[in-house]
Amino acid sequence: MRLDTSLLRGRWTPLVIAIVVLAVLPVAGAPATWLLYLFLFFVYLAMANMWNLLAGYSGLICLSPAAFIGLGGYTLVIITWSGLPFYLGIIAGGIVAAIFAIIIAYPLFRMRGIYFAIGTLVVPAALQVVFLLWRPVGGELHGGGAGYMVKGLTGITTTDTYWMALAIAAISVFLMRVILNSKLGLGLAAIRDNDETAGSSGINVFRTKLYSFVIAAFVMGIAGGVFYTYQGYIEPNSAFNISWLMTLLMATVIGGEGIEDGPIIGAVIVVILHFLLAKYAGLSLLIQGVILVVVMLVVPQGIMGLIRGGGIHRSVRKLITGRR
Amino acid sequence: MTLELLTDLATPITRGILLGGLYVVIALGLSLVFGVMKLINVAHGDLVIFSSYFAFFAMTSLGVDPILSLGMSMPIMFGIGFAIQKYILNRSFRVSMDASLIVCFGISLILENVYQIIWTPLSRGLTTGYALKSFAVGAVNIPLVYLLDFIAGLAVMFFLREFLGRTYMGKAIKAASQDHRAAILMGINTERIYGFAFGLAMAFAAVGGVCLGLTFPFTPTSGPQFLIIAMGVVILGGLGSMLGTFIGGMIFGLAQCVGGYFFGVAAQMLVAYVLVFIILAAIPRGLFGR
Amino acid sequence: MSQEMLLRVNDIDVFYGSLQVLWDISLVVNKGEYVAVIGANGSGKSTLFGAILGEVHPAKGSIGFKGKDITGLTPFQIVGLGISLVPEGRRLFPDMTVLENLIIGSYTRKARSRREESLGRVYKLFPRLEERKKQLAKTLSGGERQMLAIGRGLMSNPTLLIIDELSLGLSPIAINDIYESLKQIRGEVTILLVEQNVQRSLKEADRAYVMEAGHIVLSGKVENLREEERIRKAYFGVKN
Repeated sequence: MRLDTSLLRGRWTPLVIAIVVLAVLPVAGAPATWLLYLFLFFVYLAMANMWNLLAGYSGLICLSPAAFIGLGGYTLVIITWSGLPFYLGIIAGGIVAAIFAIIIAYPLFRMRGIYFAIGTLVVPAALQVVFLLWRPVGGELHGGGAGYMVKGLTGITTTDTYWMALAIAAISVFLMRVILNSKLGLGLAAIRDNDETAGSSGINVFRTKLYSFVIAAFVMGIAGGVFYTYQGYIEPNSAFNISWLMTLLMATVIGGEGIEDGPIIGAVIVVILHFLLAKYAGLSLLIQGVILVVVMLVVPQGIMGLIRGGGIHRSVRKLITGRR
Repeated sequence: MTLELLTDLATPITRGILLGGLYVVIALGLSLVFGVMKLINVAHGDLVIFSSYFAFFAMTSLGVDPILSLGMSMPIMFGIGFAIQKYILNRSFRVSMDASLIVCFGISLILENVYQIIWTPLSRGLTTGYALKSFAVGAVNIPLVYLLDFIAGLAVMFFLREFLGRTYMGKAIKAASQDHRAAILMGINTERIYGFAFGLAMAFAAVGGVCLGLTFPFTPTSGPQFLIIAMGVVILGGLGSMLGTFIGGMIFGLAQCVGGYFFGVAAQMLVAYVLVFIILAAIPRGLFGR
Repeated sequence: MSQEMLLRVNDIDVFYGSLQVLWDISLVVNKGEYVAVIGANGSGKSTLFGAILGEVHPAKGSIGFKGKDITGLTPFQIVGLGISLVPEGRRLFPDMTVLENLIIGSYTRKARSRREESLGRVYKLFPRLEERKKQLAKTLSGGERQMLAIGRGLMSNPTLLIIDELSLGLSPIAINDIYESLKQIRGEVTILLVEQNVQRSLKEADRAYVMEAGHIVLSGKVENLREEERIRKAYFGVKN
């Protein structure tokens, strides 16, 4: 991947400053609720950036983020139950998710367009059943239930998990910038517009898609591991739940799909919504659904798209060229 | 040994074939919308469950038998479908196809949450007297509802075939799905046709929901499971081929029941999912379709 | 030949997005006439008919049919008023039979009640369609497809029949057959024909318009146009 560093210089300063400020917060005595909000924001941001990479930049509408996130979580469980330290579990989670992504990429990329979307929908559903039935470590649980506690977490403070989340979020932003300014990014843009003609201009479509798919899986796996380190337990229904997809969809759509800063605003709003709606736990999905529909119909380019004054959104381009 | 296996298998095989009828009904609604509007309605499963819950409501609060309640739910769902298409989906098409997909997702979310609020995550079923009956044909034990599923599958298929073949509206739907621009040039108001097609698909979903509720227990999140299976049936059978969809339904019913026999009931869905995945990867255009 | 004006395209501009494709197009078709529009690929002919049928709306100017302003109407409304377009490339419904294609042609309310009569007319005009009525449209030969497309267009009982690129992809014999058949319906239907094959279309037409790059460069009665240099220029590369 050749880097066009001239484009990057100067855009890094605000980011670095932000990271430093955020890193210092817990030590500076910021209230615990802030840290919690920010923790979730970092986790969602990392995942949303990756989802944006796939859907907004590679043209891959991936409905299976929960697969990578859940696998990250379960790898963490397996590693910690085997007595190994948790941070290995987190990294292994990313690796397992990435390997899984490579394996399913071969059948998945044969599927085009909507079939691909449905194929990715099947994956977490299947994994959910698998982990409902399979107990990779430990014995039968008393009282049923398929969940696990994460072991080896003694001595980890909220600050530690906070910093881990900040790290993966920062990495995701960094990755996005680097990828989008590289040859890989150009290839992805070409594929997003029309993957058949991209192939004929010499781009190895499969490999390019594979790179972004695997990178996304890796980061999501790690973010999942970080999340479950914080949460402390995992069970198949929520780990592979479609609500992960909903959250990421919300973040990218509200923020602006195919726009680099979109997920940042989107993740902020999602976290705010999360806490606003905590009181109305029953209604939160409903409200999210309504917001999703309204945003798609009224402001499809997302908030960042709106601010940028119609930053080139794929759909607008499609409307003009008439391609559906 | 083999003979014993075959006799043991006779029940799951027969059940599987009959169960296929349910999947045919669900798949035909999905396929109709896909064929006409090129849209995979990812809320289709949840809309089928809507009918299940409606029938549940009719049964528990109104004392009306689920099958009879179809008299109410079919027109209601037709109307809902027409409205969804006209006011929501139509607008989303103008944005992009991806937007439509996401809007359907949103609708799916909304529905699942509504079900959860009204009926709680508890598992429900349409437990009428006949829902529990079964009858024996030789060594094979068949629950009555499976037979109902099969009959429903045949009925819906037959109705759709006649409708598409003999009525102007049906021909217009076929035309719009084969060449949209040419259909307009025939004087067809394609927007209204879309609305009608979607409404019709919802009417089928109504039938599917009642059959589903009689056959399986359902929860607010049951929708996507059946969406996935319906997708598999549609792709396996090939778009535009009713015979293909019928056979596809049978195959999925078989896979589930026979798979359940070998791997246990809990793994039933997994067998179906794996089958869908393989189909998606191997046969992008379906066995029978164009 | 009556001079009752049927179709009047009045000074229209058409844009695709921000790209202008038609400039100041004015065109008249009178009842009973046979009018040809000639021009090479890319001259804007098909866009013109898209505009007449309401598929695209002109940025300026108006279109009138039977004295009524139809600018801005939707295509299915315009078809209902009596214009039928046989589109470029035929655009048949491939997986429907010949008969089904014809029947769907009579979809509009007016046409439905006269379906059997219209069907009889079409079969008389193109007997081969009756022979093949149960065949799927996609199995027909090029010439048969064009016959079916025209037949389908006639099923809506139009006052004005517009045929876009009749001879595209057809053998000379098939082209000849179809033109001969068109002669038969001249009295009942007004025809607006769009062609790259200048020679043949001029042979039959009363009047013609010549288009070049989105403009009408020449128009008038056929006998006056025939010698014009520009006619010969209007389709370079195609044999005269």
